Amino acid sequence: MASGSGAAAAAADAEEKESGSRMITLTSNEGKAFVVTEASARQSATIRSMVDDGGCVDKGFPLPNVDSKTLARVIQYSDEHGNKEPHTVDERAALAKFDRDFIAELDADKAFLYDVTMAANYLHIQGLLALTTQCVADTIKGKTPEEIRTAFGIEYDLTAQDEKEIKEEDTHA
Amino acid sequence: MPPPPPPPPPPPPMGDGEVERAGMETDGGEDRISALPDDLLCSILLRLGSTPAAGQTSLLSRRWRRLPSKLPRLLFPFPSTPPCVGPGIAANTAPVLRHVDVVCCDSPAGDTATWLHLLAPRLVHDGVVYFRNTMSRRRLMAPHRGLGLASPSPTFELPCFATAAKLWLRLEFLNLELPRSGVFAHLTEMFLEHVDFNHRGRGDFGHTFSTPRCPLLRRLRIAMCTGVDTMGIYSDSLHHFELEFVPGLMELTLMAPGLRTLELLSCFYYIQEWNCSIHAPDLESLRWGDRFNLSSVVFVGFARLQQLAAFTIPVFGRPDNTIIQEFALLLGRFSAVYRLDLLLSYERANSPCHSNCECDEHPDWNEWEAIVHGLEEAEIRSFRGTEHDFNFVALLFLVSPALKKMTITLDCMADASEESCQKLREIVAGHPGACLEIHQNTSGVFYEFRQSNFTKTPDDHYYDYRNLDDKQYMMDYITILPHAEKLFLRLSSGPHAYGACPDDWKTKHISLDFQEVEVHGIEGVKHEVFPRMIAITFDPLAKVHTSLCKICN
Repeated sequence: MASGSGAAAAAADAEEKESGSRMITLTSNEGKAFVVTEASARQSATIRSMVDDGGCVDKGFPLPNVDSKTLARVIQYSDEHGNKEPHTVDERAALAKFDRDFIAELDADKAFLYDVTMAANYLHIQGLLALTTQCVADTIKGKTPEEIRTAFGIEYDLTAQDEKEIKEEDTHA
Repeated sequence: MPPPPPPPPPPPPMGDGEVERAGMETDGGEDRISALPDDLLCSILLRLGSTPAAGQTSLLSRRWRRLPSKLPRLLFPFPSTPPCVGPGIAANTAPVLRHVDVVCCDSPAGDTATWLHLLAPRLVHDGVVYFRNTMSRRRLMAPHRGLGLASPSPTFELPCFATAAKLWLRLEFLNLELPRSGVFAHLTEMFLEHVDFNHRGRGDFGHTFSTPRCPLLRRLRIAMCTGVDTMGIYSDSLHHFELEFVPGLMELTLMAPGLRTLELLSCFYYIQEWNCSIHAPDLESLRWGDRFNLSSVVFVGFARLQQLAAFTIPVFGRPDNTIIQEFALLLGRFSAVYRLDLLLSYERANSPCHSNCECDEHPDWNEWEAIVHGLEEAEIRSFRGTEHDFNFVALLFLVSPALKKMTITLDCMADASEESCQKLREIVAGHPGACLEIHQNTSGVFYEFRQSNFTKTPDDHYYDYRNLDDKQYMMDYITILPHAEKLFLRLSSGPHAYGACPDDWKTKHISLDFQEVEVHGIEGVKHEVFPRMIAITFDPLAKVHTSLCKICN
């Protein structure tokens, strides 16, 4: 694959690419290497565009913004979604259950949830980003501002003047 | 390789001096969420699905203070009130708005006009606007609702959305006037549902949708709209046009060289004089669910037509017995049809059969033979297994000598016994070379009309025909046309396949101001009380025609 000069080699390359059996190395900011299938890596639009632009697949991709713990979790998601193509109703249900369990686990560890959200944003993994941002939004939903502050540990720093302004702007109340 | 974005700087939400964390009770511990970059926080806020809910977060802290007003999408979910939509648009500071989705309840014309006019100039190129008004049951049942003469709802003018790509409006019969000037320069899709245009006698209504005003319009749907009598659309761009239930339309002219799909349903049924002229040389798919005759309809250049779907055919006729002839005429207009989907309604028009029922003796059978003579394959859905159903299958085999395959899907409420299947097999066995497939529908869903492209709201209960316990809502459905002067009611009670009628469905909720009522197909029996109820409920001046009734009692 490294020297795909002949037509046959190119065809084999294309075939291998097609079948998704090529492996790709992702390296965390701690220098730890994770080897994943191309199908899994292609869940990330960032990596996908680099691969499609003929990028340095063999050298792997360093991800200076993602630590090992987060990357492992992100890969867990991309493997599930990239390596399997759900066709039947049951398979789709299994994938939906995976998503539910995946996000329930993250929801219990908010700090880690934000790390995964940031990584999903950086890597442009739309499905994962939708899952994590929806999870945070669901925590906000139906709460008063005071309850939201408590849930997320947000410091109240609005001045009386701010509040007055907001009240004036806020005509929904 | 795009450079990775730098890690976000720590937020500066400090008021004055150090943030004191001691004594703060939190589930999340340290405030990590506020450290997320703006675009992520905005994604999270958008996922709340509600602009007012997102607005609440501006009270959280300084970090959050300005975020909600920067969102490029405005979402006012059901049931929003119009007075909050206008300020919501005014308070938004995003450079442009991409997506606006508003679902109001009982929105008055004035407030609606105000926010639409605020919105139009704020929309980004190729932005989308969905606005749906719903009518609360309270208002639906209010006495004198829609009494056009007493309290005409004010007309408002639609602003010209010069930048929008999609504009969907479902107004629950607010009076809308289309903008008299301006070009919808980016508009590719426009849906207008439940609008009263109040345009009768005021000239051509179609100009707004024609190429000079809508140069890019590809898809147009006008459904359940009133107040239009003449419509002439001359469009080079139009690709898909749906015109559905526009009562009072007398003249339709369509010149659309790019048109591929045309759906025309139930516009001309209730008037005598009408004309329809369609020039669409590239038309591929035609769904014609309306009257048809050669003097009123002119098709020009349908050489590329591939697919034809037509109206529901009542196999055992209707009181006027015209539909089969019209259908044969429509088919005769095309030299070759390779695939034809028929939706047959082979119930008898009115009430349950009596012992000496003659409804299997079909009066139009000659017409039928012409239509189904070359039929090779037939598929029947919602087979209920009544005696008529079996007779119909037998008849179909009798008049279609070429029939090779019959697929039958049993209705979800049909008796799926081995006996029924055996009976079907016996019918088919008499025709060598024909095969039969029987499927069972366990989904509980039967044929459903597409009512709307809009997402449903809880106020939609009265549009949902599947809700069989609530038959009275079908009467409510009639009442949503506010300015109808005449009610033409054809009763079709069917063979009580769905259980007995609820006792109170006739008397409740009917509050209309029709001048004239015409009821067809009453046989008396159990439902005789029904027309009387209507007569009592209506204005004492109401005329009640029961010309085709034979009241038994």
